[in-house]
Amino acid sequence: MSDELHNRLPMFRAERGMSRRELAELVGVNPQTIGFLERGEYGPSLVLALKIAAVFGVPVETLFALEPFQPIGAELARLSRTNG
Amino acid sequence: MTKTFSIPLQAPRARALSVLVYSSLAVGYLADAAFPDLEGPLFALTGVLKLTGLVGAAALFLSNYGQQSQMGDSALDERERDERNRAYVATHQIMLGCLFAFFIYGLVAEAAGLWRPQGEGALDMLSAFAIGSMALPGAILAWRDRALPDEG
Repeated sequence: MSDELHNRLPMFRAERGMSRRELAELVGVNPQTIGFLERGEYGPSLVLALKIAAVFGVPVETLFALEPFQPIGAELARLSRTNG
Repeated sequence: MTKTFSIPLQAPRARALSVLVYSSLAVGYLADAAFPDLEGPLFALTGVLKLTGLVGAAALFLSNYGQQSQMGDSALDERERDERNRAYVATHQIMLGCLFAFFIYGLVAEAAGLWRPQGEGALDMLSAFAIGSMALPGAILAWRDRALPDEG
């Protein structure tokens, strides 16, 4: 298992039209910290990861994973195949 | 996040200031200790270097980086706390390294009959060490700052 933490923060933030500053205020951190998280230069505590997941209303593993995320197109194709 | 007074410095300026501070302190105090009989322009130059080091170290201490190193846990987020703690670990290691190097040099210099600071010179060098230590956590934070310019 990889030690690197991958995340989908930029995608979720862009989808909601949310700035780094807005997300930072919602979870109580410095806006720079959101930038560090998005670039994978900082691994959040479990508390911070859960707070961010709560902001987007998704499980924490939807945002953070130890394996790289599949591109959205590939994920959608897999889902459509699964659903027939 | 609590706001305290600080001198706002961008990372490149804080890094340049740290280079100026530590080179001025090293040259100024070492020259003063090694050549206690300096007179005229050279004596004035060591004075200017020592003053530059002192004022620069105070500016670094009062900068946003220096203040981040002094802030309590509640004023920082978890990443900033982590950076501050790592800066203090590095400061401790550097200070101990310098002290041991100084003591070992003193022992070797005594045995080999080399120059070593005496009396007031040794006290002066201790002052330089204290002044440098004061600004070191902030300087380390500035050198380690990887934030992008648009991240505020």
